[in-house]
Amino acid sequence: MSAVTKPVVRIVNLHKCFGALEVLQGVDLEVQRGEVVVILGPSGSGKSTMLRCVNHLEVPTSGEVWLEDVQINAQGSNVNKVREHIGMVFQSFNLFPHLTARGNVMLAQRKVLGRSESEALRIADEQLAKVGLSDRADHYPSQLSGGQQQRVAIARALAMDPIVMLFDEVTSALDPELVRDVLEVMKELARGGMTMLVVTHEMGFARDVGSRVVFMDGGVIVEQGTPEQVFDHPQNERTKDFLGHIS
Amino acid sequence: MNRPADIGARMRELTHKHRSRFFAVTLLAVLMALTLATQSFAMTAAKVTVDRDTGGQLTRFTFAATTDADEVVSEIDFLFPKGFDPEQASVKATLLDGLKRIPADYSHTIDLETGVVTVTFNPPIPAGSNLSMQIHNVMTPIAGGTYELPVEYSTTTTGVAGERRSLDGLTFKYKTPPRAEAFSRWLDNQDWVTSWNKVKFLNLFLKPQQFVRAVPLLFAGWLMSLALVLIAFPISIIGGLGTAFMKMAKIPPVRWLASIYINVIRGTPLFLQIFVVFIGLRTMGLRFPDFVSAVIVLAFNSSAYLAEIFRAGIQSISKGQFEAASSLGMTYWQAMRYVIIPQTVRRVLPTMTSEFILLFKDTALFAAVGIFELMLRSQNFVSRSGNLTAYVVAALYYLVITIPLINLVGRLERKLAQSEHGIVAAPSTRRSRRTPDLSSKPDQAATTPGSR
Repeated sequence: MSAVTKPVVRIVNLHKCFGALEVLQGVDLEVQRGEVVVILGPSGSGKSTMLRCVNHLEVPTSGEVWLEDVQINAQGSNVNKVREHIGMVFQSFNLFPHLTARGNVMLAQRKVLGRSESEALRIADEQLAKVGLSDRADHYPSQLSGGQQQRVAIARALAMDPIVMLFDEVTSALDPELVRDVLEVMKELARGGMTMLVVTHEMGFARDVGSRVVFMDGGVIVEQGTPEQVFDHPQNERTKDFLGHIS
Repeated sequence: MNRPADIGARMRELTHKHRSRFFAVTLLAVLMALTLATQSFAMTAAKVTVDRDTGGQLTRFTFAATTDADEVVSEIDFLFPKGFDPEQASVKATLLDGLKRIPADYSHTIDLETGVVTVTFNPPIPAGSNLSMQIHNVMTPIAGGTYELPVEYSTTTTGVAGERRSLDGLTFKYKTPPRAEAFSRWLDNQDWVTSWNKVKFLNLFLKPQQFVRAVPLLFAGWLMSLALVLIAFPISIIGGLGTAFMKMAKIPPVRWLASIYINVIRGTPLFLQIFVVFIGLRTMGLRFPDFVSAVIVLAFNSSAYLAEIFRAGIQSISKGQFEAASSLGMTYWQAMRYVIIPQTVRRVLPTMTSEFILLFKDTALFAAVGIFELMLRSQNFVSRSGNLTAYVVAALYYLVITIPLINLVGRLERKLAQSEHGIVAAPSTRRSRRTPDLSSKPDQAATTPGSR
């Protein structure tokens, strides 16, 4: 395999069971550098679980998850070390409520990457500027709107210089008028060439920004392709059904 | 000084031979004694003592002397100095001839104007007797010092009547009582105190005299109780945190160990734990100073409660916080140290304060094993005085600490509720109904396990 085609994320025959319930029933996926992979599917289809397996927040029952040439779920792999390179943004923001926006962005830089105070501060302010929140740097999460909190969460992940960014329904918890700001930031990120895995219900975003759309149902990938292929000419009945329901 | 003996000898000599001349000589001698103000001891070995070492209270005076061989004493006057009040005085006299007790018949009168107690003996005291007199219930002034009690007496040399003699230089001393004691004795004489004490309830629970005495006496006990809890509590914070992490550990035996410890301690009375440590360990030959043992029991006990408070607090932090920290590459301990614990502290602070209050009150149990803390001191005071005021004073000492802390708990809880419900948040904050409940209520679990 040449260096160019080497995937950033590679998922091989991924299975995940919660007790008797098999949420993922053999998922294979490769994400190339700079790709924006949008994962669609009805709730319970396993999209979020798959995403969480990528940075080992869920431990796969079987299968392989690779970040470049490191297998995350291998015995004895240093999960924390791998996670440094994977940014993740959650539906519920999960900002640290006891720290300001700037403090949130600085914490892991200081403690995980060991950056100096001044460097962490510089990068934090840089990232907050990128998401348009320079004027909110000293605010605590409770003083920020949902959209602002989510943008701080994105800045926090980006400050770690990740290879890939995972977005887990990041706009689902937001009031409609706040969704746009967050999507704007994500679009900008995609344009900058960030490799992204995005679980979302925002069809507009998937169509405009996604370089590939993956449709999951029942714990497997049912169909994938370019947005045009999936949205305009879906092949699978379940995809058609799903798209028919939401549009 | 041989003078008294001189006079006695001369008197004896003269009695037989020249009665008239004797009279003149005696008069001269008395005059000389009065004018020159020299001590003219007729009685020998005279001395005055008091049975109290501080002033301001009813005191027993003891006067002891030996009458001279030729002296027959019919009356003794005690000239109490200014400030001494013999109003309630009673007198007891004992006469000894050698070791043999001689019956004494006497009566006394009190001159309130001059403070003179006059004791009349009828028949008079035979010559050469050992005399011991006790004057009970003389109220002394509070101010300490050395006082003189002049004593005068009337003597008859055989056949001759009405001679006055005086004993000077008889001194006694006592100290000024401690301030609380003096205050209490001062209160004894106040009319409002007397009326107050006539109400049975007030007299039993709020007697002013007992109150002012108990306050300084119980202070040391209060310090002891405080010291116990102030030393034990920080230890139990560390112990509790350690136990909480053990309880959440991945390795089952570690969890079990923590569970057993927590359940045994929380499931048995502190009283029992105190006895186990104070008596059990001692019997086994493990001996610590009492104070150290007490701190050990308290810390052990409180650690178990704090462990549950901390565990509940940590687990009440939403899982998303830990996931967010993990997704940024933090290790378990980094996530704990920088993300979970700081949030937990805020949440458990009210419950921790409540636990501190409980622990402080629990120090009273150490009275049972002889630690001189607040409770034991008040108990001793009550059993000595037969009055319950000291318990009220002890209660006040406890309340001085607990009431402000109870208030603090209330304030902390309100503040916590506000910050967790976003009341302090900027007005721009709005959350949709779909927002998962990040601002989880001050967790029930976080506030309950500490309560007993």
